[in-house]
Amino acid sequence: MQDQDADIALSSWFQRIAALIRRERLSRFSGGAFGYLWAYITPIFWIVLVVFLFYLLNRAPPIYVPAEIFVATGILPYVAFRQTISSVTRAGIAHRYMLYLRPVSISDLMIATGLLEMFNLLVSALLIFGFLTLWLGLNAPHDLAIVLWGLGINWALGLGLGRFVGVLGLVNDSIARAVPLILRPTFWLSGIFYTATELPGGAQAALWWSPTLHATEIVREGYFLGYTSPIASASYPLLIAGIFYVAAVPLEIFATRRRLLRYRI
Amino acid sequence: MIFLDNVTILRRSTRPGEIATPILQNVSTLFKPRERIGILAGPSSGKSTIARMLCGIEPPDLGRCTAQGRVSWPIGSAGFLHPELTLYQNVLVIAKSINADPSWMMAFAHSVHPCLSDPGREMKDLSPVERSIFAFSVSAAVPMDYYIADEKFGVGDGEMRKKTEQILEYRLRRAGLIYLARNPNSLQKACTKLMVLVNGQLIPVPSIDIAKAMAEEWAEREAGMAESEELQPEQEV
Repeated sequence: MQDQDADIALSSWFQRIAALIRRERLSRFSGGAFGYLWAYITPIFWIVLVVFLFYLLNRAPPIYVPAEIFVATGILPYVAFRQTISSVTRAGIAHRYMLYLRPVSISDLMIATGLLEMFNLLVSALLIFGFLTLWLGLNAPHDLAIVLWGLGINWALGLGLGRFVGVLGLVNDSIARAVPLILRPTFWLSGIFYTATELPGGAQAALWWSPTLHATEIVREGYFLGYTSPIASASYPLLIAGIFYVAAVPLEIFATRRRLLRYRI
Repeated sequence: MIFLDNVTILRRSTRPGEIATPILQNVSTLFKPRERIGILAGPSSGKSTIARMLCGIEPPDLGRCTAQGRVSWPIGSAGFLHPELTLYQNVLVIAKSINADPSWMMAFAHSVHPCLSDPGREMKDLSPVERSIFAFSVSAAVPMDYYIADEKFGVGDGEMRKKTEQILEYRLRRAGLIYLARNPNSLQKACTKLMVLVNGQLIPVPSIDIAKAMAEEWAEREAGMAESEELQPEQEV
């Protein structure tokens, strides 16, 4: 009997998350000319822009690969992190009136948005790597599973941090506004323009603490045959993601019970 | 059944240093199944906050609010209806979130008003009245054990108001109602038991006249207190 109740609760939860994903998908880019295509245009545009800068500045990638692929393996993991954290942070505020429909909770809103981001990331990766290999005839990933694993790590990092920061942002306006500023340096710390191997010893030791660099390097290890990085640990970024994700749970309970959420619903 | 166990809800001031005032203070009461309770409360007395607590949307600051059975969201709430989504898309999201049948909800909305017959119509294209009818339809489509009404019992004008009130009456044959309003006449019409919210307490009253008198007396006292606070000379620092 208890098993049956648990099954029903689980299936209702999946149904609820699917409904919230649908709402996010339908509403996020609604009204514009390109609609949901914007979710894929953004990373493509970033890659095109950075590749253009590479050519403009006559900069060669630090490893012997075409600039397009080198940039794509840097931008995509960064997008996985940045888009997920931004969307998850936004979800609690954007869909707050869904909390009227019990049993929808803040964590449901954030998980649904996070899952949608994962889907977007997979589609973007497929489009970008597919275009580079099939259209431009450039190298295909050496080990696709490792590439996806690296992207997944940054996605998990975005989800964990996004959930924590999202709850804090629901309580305090200054935190919500400060998040994009705090995240800005991660663009330079993620290894989009460089690899860990080319960094001097001191910089390498300092950048070891950048969790997004680990994920980028894992993606590159998976993509480029023979490339190994001194900064490619999955456990460190996953530990950070887990700590923040778990820490968000009591924080959310505390903020909800104490009625500290700044948005009136 | 909804049970308030020593519940306190505070109204927090947005100004720093200002003390939070209680909307409810140490209130314990039981709303039995199928009871129809009207709560008379003045303007800005915290009706919507109480309604949200009763619906389980927000917890009280102290104490516990527990419910047995399904409790509605405040009837006619429209915040979760996204303007850029169609009627059907909105209904689908709501139905799947609360484990209801979207086709039934859509058919129900259509039966309430023909303007809701086109599921592909976007919310933003509805007039404000149509929007409120749709929000009401979505609330009333799902059978609940307790309905919570925050100032709204029926929607629209004339015939439409009558129709929506009848729909709710139909639902209330098998459910309870807690109706928070400042208009005593609407409470008298819809409810069989009355309470008045004064001084952070929910006080049961035998008639609407007594409720009115108590509410007026409390409002005068509060106004008098506010006036005397304004007249007090500023303290020297």
